Amino acid sequence: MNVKSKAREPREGEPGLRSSLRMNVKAKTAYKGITRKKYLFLLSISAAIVLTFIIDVMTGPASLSANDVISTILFPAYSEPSVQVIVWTFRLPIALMAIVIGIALGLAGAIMQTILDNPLASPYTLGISASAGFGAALAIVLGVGVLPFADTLFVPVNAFVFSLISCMAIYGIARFKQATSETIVLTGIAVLFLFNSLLGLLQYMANPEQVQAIVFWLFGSLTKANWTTLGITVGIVLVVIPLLAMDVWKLTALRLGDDKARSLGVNVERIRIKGLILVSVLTATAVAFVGTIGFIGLVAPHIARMLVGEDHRYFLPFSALSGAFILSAASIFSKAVVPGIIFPIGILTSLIGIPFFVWLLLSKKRGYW
Amino acid sequence: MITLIVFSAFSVSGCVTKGGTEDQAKTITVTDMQGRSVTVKAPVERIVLMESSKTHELAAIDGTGIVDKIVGWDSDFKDNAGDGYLKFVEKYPKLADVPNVGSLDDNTFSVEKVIALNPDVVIMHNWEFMWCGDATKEALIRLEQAGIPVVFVDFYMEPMTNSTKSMLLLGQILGKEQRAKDIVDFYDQHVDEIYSRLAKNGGLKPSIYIETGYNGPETYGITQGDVGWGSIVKKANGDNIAEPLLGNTSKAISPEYLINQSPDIIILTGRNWSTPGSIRMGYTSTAADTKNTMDAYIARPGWDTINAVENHQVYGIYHGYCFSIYNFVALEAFAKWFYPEEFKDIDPDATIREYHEKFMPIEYGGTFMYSHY
Amino acid sequence: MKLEIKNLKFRYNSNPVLKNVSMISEPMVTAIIGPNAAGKSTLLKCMCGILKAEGSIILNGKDLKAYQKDEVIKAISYLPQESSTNAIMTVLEATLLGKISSLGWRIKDEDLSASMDTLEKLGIEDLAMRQMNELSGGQKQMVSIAQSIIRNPGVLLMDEPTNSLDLQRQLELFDVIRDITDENKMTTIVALHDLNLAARYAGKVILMNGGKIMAAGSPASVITEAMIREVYGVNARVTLDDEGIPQVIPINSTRKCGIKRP
Repeated sequence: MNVKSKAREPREGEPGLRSSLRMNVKAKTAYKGITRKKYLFLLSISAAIVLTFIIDVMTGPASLSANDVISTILFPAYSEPSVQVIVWTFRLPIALMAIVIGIALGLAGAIMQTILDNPLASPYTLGISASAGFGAALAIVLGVGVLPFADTLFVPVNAFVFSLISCMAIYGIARFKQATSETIVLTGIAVLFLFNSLLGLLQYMANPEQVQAIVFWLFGSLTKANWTTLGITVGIVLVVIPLLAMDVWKLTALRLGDDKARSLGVNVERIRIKGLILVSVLTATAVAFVGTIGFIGLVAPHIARMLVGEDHRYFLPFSALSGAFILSAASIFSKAVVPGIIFPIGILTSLIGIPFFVWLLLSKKRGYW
Repeated sequence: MITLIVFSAFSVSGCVTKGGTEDQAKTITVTDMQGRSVTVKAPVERIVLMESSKTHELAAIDGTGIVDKIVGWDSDFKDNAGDGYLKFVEKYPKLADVPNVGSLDDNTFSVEKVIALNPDVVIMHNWEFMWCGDATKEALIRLEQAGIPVVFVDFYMEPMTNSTKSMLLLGQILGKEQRAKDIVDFYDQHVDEIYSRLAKNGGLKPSIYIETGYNGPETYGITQGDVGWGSIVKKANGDNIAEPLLGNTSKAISPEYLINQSPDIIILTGRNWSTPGSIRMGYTSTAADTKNTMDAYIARPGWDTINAVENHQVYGIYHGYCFSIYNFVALEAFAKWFYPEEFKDIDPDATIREYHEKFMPIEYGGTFMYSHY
Repeated sequence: MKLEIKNLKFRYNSNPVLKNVSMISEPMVTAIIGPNAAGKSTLLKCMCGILKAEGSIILNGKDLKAYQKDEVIKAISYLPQESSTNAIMTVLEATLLGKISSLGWRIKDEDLSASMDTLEKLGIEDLAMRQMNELSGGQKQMVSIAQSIIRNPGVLLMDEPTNSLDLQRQLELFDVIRDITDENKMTTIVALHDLNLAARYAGKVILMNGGKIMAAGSPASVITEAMIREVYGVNARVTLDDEGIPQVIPINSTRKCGIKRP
């Protein structure tokens, strides 16, 4: 360490002000260099997503040429009705949904890991998805719903409502005690186990066809995406983003530790609660429309952290985009693996996520968390 | 150790009781659908019935008398074929009290309960070996130790060949061989007619998509390759679009594949399921019920571009027909839908009605075959 | 800035932790010493407003409650005891966070310069581009100090800043603290365990025990053999060196310990 015992004053023979200016400029250039690198990463992953999106739209059991797809997108009125349906009703919404849900889950995971100071945190750690899955299963097995809604929205609405219930329970307990990360994590684990057991109970009571339907929910599927659900999801994400943006420095400060953040004037409890609510909304939306898709919320933040660090101005967007990239790629694979059959995409993300996770653990650089 | 002692005690006492009260209990040895050689009392008077919706089959063979003979069953009848259950219970209230011995496929099966009911035979099914093999094997061992014979029938794994054999088998153990033969003759007569006409027809096969209407319109239900419904479609000379993808498994296919294939005929199976929006058919469903649930399916995105929808070739069939003796009615219905010209004079509705009049103690009513347009 | 505390009381779960504490702090280094659970950390936290206590805190003649929240943050800087962080960011970025309330989406050049100047002032400017998680404990402490002084606070509160540092770094850190206190006329209040460090670097020493202030004054007047025996339960020899700074040599505990000999 290079600590001078007196504050830096120009000493005998030293250039003084000029040298400190030079230092300053060097640091600024270095900093700008780092910033440029981060922007480059953001740009690259955005480009990658555009690529996967294009491939995703081009892939499917119906063998359509690139020409067909492009002309159907540009001139929908002039193409064959069945091709139009395939591209506009299935491929486009599904490919876009993959991106939007990936963004939602990537954001939710990033927020979770920051506010809970835990690299293993993900939206699913708090049992939010378990409660959503339970809500869906309840609708399927018992035909019991919280709100008497039209049949088509019955199951997703149930899933959404139940995940909000679990969020409120966690919030309530956190308020009652103290919103430390330990409290929230413990409550979340309790919620997780509660709903997992209830889910098991339902499966026990259900017949094989019902179990199959529940399994579907538990492993997620993009194929139910349509323009309406896509619109709602986009709307929710667009509302969440500015709410997050205003707290971007507070979240970064939170990474320095609760006390340090408090000393910098951050209301740590309020940030936690707000983060919890945003995570729940994002997760509930995702689960309601595409079922449970695991590992994205866990893995995307880690990728972001390794590449752009924890300045949340870059960390949050990169996490979101990583999530979008993973899910978009998984969407392509799910169509290639078993063409023509609906493949639960959650299985793919888990299969990709687990080895990645292990690799992360093994290659842990000293000090990387 | 203790269970073994208890079991031996049971079987010993069972033998003693049997030997004591009857002089020479008449027995019959049959070969069941698993190829096992089984000796049962002739005729059986106390039956434990697995997949209890097969009460239909037993009732066809044994008539009203069967009601006193079923001493135990699983919840299949009530849960999956609730409409038929209601009809039977309406006529024979005693059936509502039949004890539930649990199912093999969800680990609720209780051997002790079965033994306590002191049955002459337990009726099981070949598919139980496929879907819950371990539980089935274990149950078999323990029932054998208790000296209770088990007879396997099959209406699902090879529906078109094993259903009649199963009926004859049931006729043997119920002591109603002639009646069973009459049923089988009826069955064969109708089926042979279909097959002979199909053989003559050399034209193009229509492409078919058959889906289990279980999940409601939002989620695509499972379809089959060459098993279950898929094999009936195949036997009726239909070209099942799912077969190249599924082989002999059953899963849901992707909506895009369906739209792209644009099959000539779509069949949705219905029953009395609790899932909101599932297709409703059966004894307690009216044509209006079926129509309402089907409308939602046809409104699925992209379905208006499918040939079947454009040409008004969408049908419904009762899901229960797939695992029962009634599969020949399904065959008839399919043949009629696939080749309307050749089978103009065939009336599956009349067939099932006639079957009920001749053989069934309950009346026919409700919607089992449905044409949406 | 002058910081005055009057009749501060604080309870934690109905346990009184601070019992009627009053003191006046001038622009100099003040050390707060005392045994564990004396209330030193709590006092510091109350002073910067993290914990809400009864009584009044007066900053430069005005009650703390009368200030705006960000004025308080700008004026009083607090360095907590546990400062371990695994954040993935550079030293420069971490230092910038000291100015969090004035940061917008884009980092202005002035902020960058302020950050670099602060690092320079502390002599750690060559750490600017290093990652936080690669630093040693002592370096991290220096960065924490950079964070604290980047906004030129009038009051600097530090809770046992030298806990995990070795001897050399302890002395170097306090040299820096003394220098920046003198240069910027800050009121620096440091909670400390090490009596000798307190004696050497503090202009004023405050002794706390059991939530109360037992003594306040120059190091020589507070750090005496009698005080050490009474408050710390330790027999020690205190000598004054040429500059009148007390040096403490601990001898043994006043309680009988050790293995029983036959």
